[in-house]
Amino acid sequence: MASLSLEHIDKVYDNGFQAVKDFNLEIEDKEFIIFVGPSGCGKSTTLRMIAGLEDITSGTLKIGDRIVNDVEPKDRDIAMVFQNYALYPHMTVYDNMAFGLKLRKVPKDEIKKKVLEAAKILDLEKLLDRKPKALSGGQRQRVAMGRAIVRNPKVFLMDEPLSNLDAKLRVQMRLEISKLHQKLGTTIIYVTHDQTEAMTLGTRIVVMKDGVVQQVDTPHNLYHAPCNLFVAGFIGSPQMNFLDATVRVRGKEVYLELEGQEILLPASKGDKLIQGGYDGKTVVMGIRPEDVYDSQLMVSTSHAVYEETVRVYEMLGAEVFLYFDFAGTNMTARVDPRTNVRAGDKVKFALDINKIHIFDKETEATITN
Amino acid sequence: MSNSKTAAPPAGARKRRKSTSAWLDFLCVLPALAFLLVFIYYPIVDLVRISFTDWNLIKPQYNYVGFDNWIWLFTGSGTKYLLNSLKVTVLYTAGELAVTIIGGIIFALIFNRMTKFFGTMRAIVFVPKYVAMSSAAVIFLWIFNKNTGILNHFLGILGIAPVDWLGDRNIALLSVLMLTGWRAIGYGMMIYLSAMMGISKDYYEAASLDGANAFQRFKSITLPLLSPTTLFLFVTTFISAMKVFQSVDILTSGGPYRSTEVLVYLVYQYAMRDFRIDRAATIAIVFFILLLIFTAATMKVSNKNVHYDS
Repeated sequence: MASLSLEHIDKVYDNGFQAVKDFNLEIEDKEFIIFVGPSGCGKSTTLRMIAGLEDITSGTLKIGDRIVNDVEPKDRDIAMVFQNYALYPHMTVYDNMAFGLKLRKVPKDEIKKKVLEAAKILDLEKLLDRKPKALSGGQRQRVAMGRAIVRNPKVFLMDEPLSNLDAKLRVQMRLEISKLHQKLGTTIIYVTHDQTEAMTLGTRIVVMKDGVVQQVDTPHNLYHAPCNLFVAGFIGSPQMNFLDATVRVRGKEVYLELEGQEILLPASKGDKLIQGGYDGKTVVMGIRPEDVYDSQLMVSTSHAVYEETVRVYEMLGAEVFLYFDFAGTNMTARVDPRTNVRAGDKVKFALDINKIHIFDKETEATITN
Repeated sequence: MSNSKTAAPPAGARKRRKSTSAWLDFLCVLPALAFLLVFIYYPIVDLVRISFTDWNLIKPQYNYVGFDNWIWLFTGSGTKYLLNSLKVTVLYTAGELAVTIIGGIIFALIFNRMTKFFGTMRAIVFVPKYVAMSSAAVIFLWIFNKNTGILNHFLGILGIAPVDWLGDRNIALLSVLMLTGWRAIGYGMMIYLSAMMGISKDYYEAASLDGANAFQRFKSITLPLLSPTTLFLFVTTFISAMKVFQSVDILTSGGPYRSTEVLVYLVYQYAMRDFRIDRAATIAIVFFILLLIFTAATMKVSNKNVHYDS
């Protein structure tokens, strides 16, 4: 087990492309850290730099107290689970798991003990004589994890390990990984572009975009207090609704002018807009789909009510998504599945003003969080 | 609302359609089949018939002589020539296999870098494969010439006495191998290079993290994953090496003292020099059976040792 420290890490490729810019992160022992972001945001590159599979252009990488910038991958005491598992196709499951130990000249008896132990944890005991091509996707994934855990490394690195699995298996393996982390207590760094994986697995999440860290926080904070428009839009599905609104300050009260209607903001949010000198300026208002209501109770009590025609009705079983045009943008509401509303209906929607997020239109940074 | 169902055709109609389709399939392959029968299978069968005759090109007629040719080959004066040719052929084949497979793999490892310089080097190594064997053999006749050849000229610069590359019975086969190896090594390299490029980088990265050094990665990842390529090269090189003729014919004519007389050359000698088609046919059948047995054995062994990437 070990902590990690990434200080001012940069990655510039030979063609001049900068994949990672000034990456700073302290990872505590036993943490489950998630790197999340869209394709090309530098999350895998950062993971590969930690693994030693990519050179670090500048900055310092420490595992424990040791600077490992120039240390060979095999000497970093880390294990990695690859996106396509990278199981050696010519070796059996047993040999795949034992390979690293054999290279480290671990005695045969001990190798057997460790492999059987890992196989038991991952329910692979009956598959030890099979070759990877005779395994299902989920089994291969478990072997890849087994290969990593037999070595008892200081740090586990996982590069989108569930992306090749179908939706059902992904949920199952997500739980397995979570249980494994609790059981082994090893530091895990996990790369994904799937925000559900990120939210459910991570103790902390690093959101990246264009090689730059946007926010490092707990899943709860990322969801409820995103630091900018990108994070607010990236975390959450369906994504947060964004609307342009104008700030109106009247004495100590602050209003948002939206679609010809002025909405009184809670004092906590209003004060920040006053302090920031936003009076008369256009800001971006963000509201999550679950904070847009069609229920009679909310409509009758809220002071931010609008009437719109529902374009699309999507029934997902436990919830219903309603899509409608509002203030020049497409809005989504996540409502109770028992709603009677259907596509084409004209419906009154209430916005929960206490839950809105307000962002600077220029800098895209949060004003209210 | 009505539920419409498409009725299945009756069993008789289905069977008729199936048999018409089978006939059509057969008609499509018939030209190829006819070609194979006339030019491959019939000559093989006829070869067996000829081996039981005393057919030579001097006499206008021939007689059936039973096992005379087979007795001559296995117990008579033919045995020593057959055994000599077998030995020469096996040595030559082993040499060409070694050059193609070991040389090919080494060159592929050296030139497995996608830069302009290495691209040029790869082309230089591969170009000899495009040179016609007859042209290459004529060039090598000069290279190997004891008195005027460039090889001995360079040896002379190094203070080494001239070598009779094609006239010394201990060296002649090696000289033939140098020519074929010069042509084959680039081919082996290219086949291995394309196979190496098909091996996922992830395996090497996983092995690096597992603790493998460069040699261990080569031994544990590259070599096993190249095994289908090695099998392909082994079988194709084996068959072509066993059938070597042109280079031997031009460089040494099987000599000196039969030291380069490979099996095909022995068959050729009997058929075209001695006009003994009967004996040539008998040796050719033995050769054919040997090739068949060896290829089948190779395929059987390979089933256990060749790993195909999943």
